[in-house]
Amino acid sequence: MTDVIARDLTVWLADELHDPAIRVDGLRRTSVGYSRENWVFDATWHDGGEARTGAFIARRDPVGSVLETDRRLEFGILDALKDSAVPVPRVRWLDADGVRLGRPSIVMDLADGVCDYMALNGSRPLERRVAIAHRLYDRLADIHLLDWRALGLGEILEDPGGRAPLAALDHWEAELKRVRLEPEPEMKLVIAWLRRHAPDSAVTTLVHGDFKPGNVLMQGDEVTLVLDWETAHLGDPLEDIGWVTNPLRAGEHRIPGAWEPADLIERWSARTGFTADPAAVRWWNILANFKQAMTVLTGKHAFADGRFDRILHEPVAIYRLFLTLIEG
Amino acid sequence: MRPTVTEQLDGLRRILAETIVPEVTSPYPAEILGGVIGALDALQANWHRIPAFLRWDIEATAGVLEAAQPLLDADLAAKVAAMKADDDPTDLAALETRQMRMRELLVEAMPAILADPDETGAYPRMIALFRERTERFPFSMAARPPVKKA
Repeated sequence: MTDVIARDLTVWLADELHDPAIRVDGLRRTSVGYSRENWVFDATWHDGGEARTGAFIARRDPVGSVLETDRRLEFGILDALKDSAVPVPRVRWLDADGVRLGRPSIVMDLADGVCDYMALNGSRPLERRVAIAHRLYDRLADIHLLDWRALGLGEILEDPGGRAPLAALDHWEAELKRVRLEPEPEMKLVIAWLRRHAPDSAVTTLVHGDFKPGNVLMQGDEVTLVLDWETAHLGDPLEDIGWVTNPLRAGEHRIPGAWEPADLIERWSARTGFTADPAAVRWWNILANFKQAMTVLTGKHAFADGRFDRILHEPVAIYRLFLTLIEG
Repeated sequence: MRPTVTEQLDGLRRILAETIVPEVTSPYPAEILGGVIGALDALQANWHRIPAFLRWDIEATAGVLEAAQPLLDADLAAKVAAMKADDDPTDLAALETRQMRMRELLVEAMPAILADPDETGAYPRMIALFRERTERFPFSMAARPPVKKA
């Protein structure tokens, strides 16, 4: 497969960079990422007689995945954010219909930096990890502070307005109907609870959708790029707050005793000026787990269809957490 | 019957780990291969628990539906009643089909159960079923590659 991708990438980039003699070298699929195929490579070409080189990453839709998302939207969001206060990868080319690499793909510059999903709980001293947490979640606040209308995001993304929680729930309930292999009464229980307790949304912002230490690039202790925008959308910023304070992902987002959800919310509120009603955050915590369960069920479906290379079972650990969050 | 199912799964895992893994150097195939070996480990350890789990799940779900009977409309109550015939407990495919059908019926009954959480005891029984099910389920969410031994 690697030879075919290399050949097709060479043809694609030759067209984009207007150099039929372009070379693609070192192509390899990384093991990072469950939802998209990530292919990294170097390219060498000539521009006006001058030799140029670049390192790139092609993100291609897999045959099957834990998540179904749209490369056109991801490209549009990244392109809109390219000169914003939030540093994002530079997108180069979009193949929305899969005519270049067989499936929808985007090519981005490969940036320097380290992706460390345990940056907050690794080997650095505590004060450095807390400082990283400040920088990291300030980036999240910066996403919520973006003027999405001025950036043109209103032209490609739908604004759910005050019913953002119910719009999110509608979306994920429809996804459940689409991917479920078997009855999932536990999910039905959670949907019923979420419908009964849905809060209103006070403000619409850009929502990253999967913000975590593993989705940023770092150089030293600095957060230099925010990655993985495939689930970004317009909605309630508390969706991201519910995601990063989700008890299931505490190992990535919290520093026990030094960076707890209350610290994160206090700093985020001070930076954004937005409030975070505890009942609404709890609601979004539960929706965050619904989304987590959906990735498992989507992957389970894709595996059973022969489209996904990892075997997944019922997300009973998430069901257990649901029962704790809902029933106590 | 030798090799037993457990022995076969263990042998497949060993072949992959000892013969194939050392030859696979590309990151993605190596990671996927680790996951396959982890899944074979999980199957070897837990496959024999599957029939007992399915039987328990069917009976416990039937208990919830029985408690919910007064809440159900006639059609649904008739469907629940029709599920009372016993299957051969050694027929794994029949157990899988029956377990899925019972879970479907529970989903159909849930609006009535959720609308009346205290009256019949069906709601607390359903929650207890969900809790116990998370403890009894024979597999974890995702197979992990085995930890390399020093």
